[in-house]
Amino acid sequence: MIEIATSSTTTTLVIAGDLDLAERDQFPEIAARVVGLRRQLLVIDMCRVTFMDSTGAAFLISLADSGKRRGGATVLRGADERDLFVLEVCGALDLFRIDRDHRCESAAPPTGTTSSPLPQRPV
Amino acid sequence: MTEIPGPVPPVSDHMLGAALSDAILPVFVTGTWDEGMPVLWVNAEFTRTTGIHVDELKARGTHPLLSLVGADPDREPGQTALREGRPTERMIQGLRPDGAIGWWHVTMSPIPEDDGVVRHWLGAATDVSSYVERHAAQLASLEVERRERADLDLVAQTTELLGDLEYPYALRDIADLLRALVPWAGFYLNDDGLVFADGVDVASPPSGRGRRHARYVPETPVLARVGGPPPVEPDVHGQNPAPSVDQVQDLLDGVTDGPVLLELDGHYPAHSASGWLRRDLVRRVVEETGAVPRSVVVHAVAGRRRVLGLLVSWHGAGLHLDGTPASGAGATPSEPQHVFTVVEVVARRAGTAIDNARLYAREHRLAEALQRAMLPEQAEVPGLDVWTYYAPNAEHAQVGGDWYDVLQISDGTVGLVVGDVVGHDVEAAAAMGQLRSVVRSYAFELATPGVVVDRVDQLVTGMRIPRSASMVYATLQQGPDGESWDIRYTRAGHLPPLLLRGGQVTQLAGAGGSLIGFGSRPRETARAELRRGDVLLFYTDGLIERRDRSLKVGLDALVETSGRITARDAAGVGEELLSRLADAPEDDVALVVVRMPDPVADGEVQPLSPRSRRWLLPSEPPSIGRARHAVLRTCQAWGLPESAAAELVVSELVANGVLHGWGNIALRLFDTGDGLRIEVEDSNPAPPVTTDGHPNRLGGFGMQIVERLADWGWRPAGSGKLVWAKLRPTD
Repeated sequence: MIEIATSSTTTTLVIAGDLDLAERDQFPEIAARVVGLRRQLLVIDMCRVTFMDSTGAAFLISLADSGKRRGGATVLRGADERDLFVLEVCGALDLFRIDRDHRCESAAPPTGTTSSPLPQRPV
Repeated sequence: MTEIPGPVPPVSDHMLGAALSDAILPVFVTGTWDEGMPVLWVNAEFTRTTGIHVDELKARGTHPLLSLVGADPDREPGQTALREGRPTERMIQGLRPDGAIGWWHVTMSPIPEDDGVVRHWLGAATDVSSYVERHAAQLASLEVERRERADLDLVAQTTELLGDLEYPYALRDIADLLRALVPWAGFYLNDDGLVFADGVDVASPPSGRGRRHARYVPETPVLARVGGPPPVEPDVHGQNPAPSVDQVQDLLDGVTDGPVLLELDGHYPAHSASGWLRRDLVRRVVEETGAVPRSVVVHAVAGRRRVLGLLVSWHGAGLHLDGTPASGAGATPSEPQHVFTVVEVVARRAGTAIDNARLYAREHRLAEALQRAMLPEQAEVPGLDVWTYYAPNAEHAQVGGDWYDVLQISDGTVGLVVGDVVGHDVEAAAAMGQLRSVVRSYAFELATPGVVVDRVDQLVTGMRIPRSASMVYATLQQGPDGESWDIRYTRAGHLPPLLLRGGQVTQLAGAGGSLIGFGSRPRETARAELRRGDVLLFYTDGLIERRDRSLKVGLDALVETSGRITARDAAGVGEELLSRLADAPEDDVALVVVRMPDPVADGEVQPLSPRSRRWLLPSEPPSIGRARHAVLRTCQAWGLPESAAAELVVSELVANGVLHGWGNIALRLFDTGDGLRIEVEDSNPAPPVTTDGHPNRLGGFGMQIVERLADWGWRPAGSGKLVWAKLRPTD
């Protein structure tokens, strides 16, 4: 489920559940609404995302990319290590400002997994 | 002069003079270059060959010989040699007395004198006309041969490209090949109006339909500068009357066979085929070659029943952007015969290939749509571990009469159906589809299994479904304490479900009745209980039926096998059953395993069941999540640590299967002892595609993620392919 909240400067997207191909049908409409709001800052709250694969990442990237082209910024908060890994493989980490200090309010549901280490970006 | 003894007298100066005079070779003596090379003497043969007397040559002023020479490819180096006093030879062309053109090989050598100063040159000419003609003919025939070979080669390459229309630039590459013959060539397809085509969308190839051609074409501002055709022509209702003939539309309609010559400086209605094509062509050719075309040759790309598009070639007639004529301008652009043949062959082959792709895509869409309509429903049931399996008999393609459904009827209530329609053909599959819908509708409406099947009986009798069928229908209702589920079931001529509890196997043989649509007694409903750790097994006779044993013996074998099952997850139970009973099934197999997890006992004993699992998933997006849950459960059951990576890899592979694969998707997991091995199989034989990541082209990163986490590969399997990935153990 994806909710959109907005203030005068910021659009906040709160995403819950799985972000994969099964959710793809709603992506274009949400992207259109976010773009239509024309806020300088887009905050994507991933605290309650249970899973994201490359299809989900592509959606976030399209949001960040269209924001960037209008001179805006996109903040990613509550993304777990695996989500960041997926974005990194997609070569898109630099499109986002990663909020590493954010602490999710409710106990964030585990991403279904124990946090086993994923391969790191080759140096 | 010294006397030389011998039979032959020595050669005298007089004899040398006579020899030159009477030689059968034209010989002549001239002065030096600086004197203008006056001709001082010629022999008789020279006069005979050229038809010119020496006095006449003397009268022609300086360099009189030049007046005899036509083509002279080596004039510059030859004259330099003459100036510098070096001997020289060259081939020249000249007129014979009869007016015919001949070729001579001419040598000029200085005549040395005692004081070392050159005052005279001796020239000799040999008639080599016949040799030159033969050589030219040889070259020409070699050229023809080379061209034919090149044309054949081009056609062969074209055929190869047409073999893979899934490649998105197949048509562009073919047009590029043709551009070795003509300055510009390109394909247009008619799909609700003409459109320029780099490739064919094999999922929905062009229809060949469309008579209004209105796709947007940007204007070409350069045209005004070179006096090209006007950028916008008036519409049909405009001032200038348009020509009544639309050659290109006639070609598309199959009225003419073509090819047609389209004049690009004519006036055509804006949305006519000729008008649109003229506009688009002029823009493209100007952009790509920098010249403004005057006319093009248009071939039809014809399918079996209608013309699907056009192959347009420009032969170079037109203007450069600076206004100078491009090659061939002025003359009517004619297509040389061999170019015409090649373009015609390419157009014809492209038409057939596109048509085949279209027909195949249509069949495939139809089959997929029907298959999707027949997909089983498998609800994820909270509190239960459900695993399903369906394998149509391989000999009978992808259709069969067996089916299952797992329906979430309400919170805490699940409906379970397993059934079997007699036969393996399309009619059986169609009957199955009807029955399944009927059962589904009543299952949601009525609670008691006996009542549901009663109603199914009534409806089926009225619908005249042509095949008899057996089935079991059961409902599971969660007990109030959540510690057990109440099973209620009824059987219509179907084998009894099995209940497995602590090594004991119970056949749920109550509430038996006749096949669907038969019998007059009301259906009964029997009850049982599913407790923690229990397994409920629904199956069709394909699991146990063998030609070499009776059904009774088969059922005993199933009961015996079930008693030995140690797996603690539904997929493991299914795996043990399949590996022992159904590795060579003779019939369709449908299997539903329902297990109520036992959080306390499940963790205590490490089961001895095989460390492999399989799932058959319908090709739909929700299958991706289902596959992830399956891999998570399996990693837990096997105590594997890399579940985060496994979940990601499975998600990407199954998503690819759903997006690009055909038919059902088979997912298999193996514990290799050295990392989890994941296999995903579908019926599309085309290999998986890795695209290099490009920030502006989203998607296509899936296989890169897989690559970072696992070793992977693929191989053909059955009629499709199998993609495997072996997770690298985390350090």
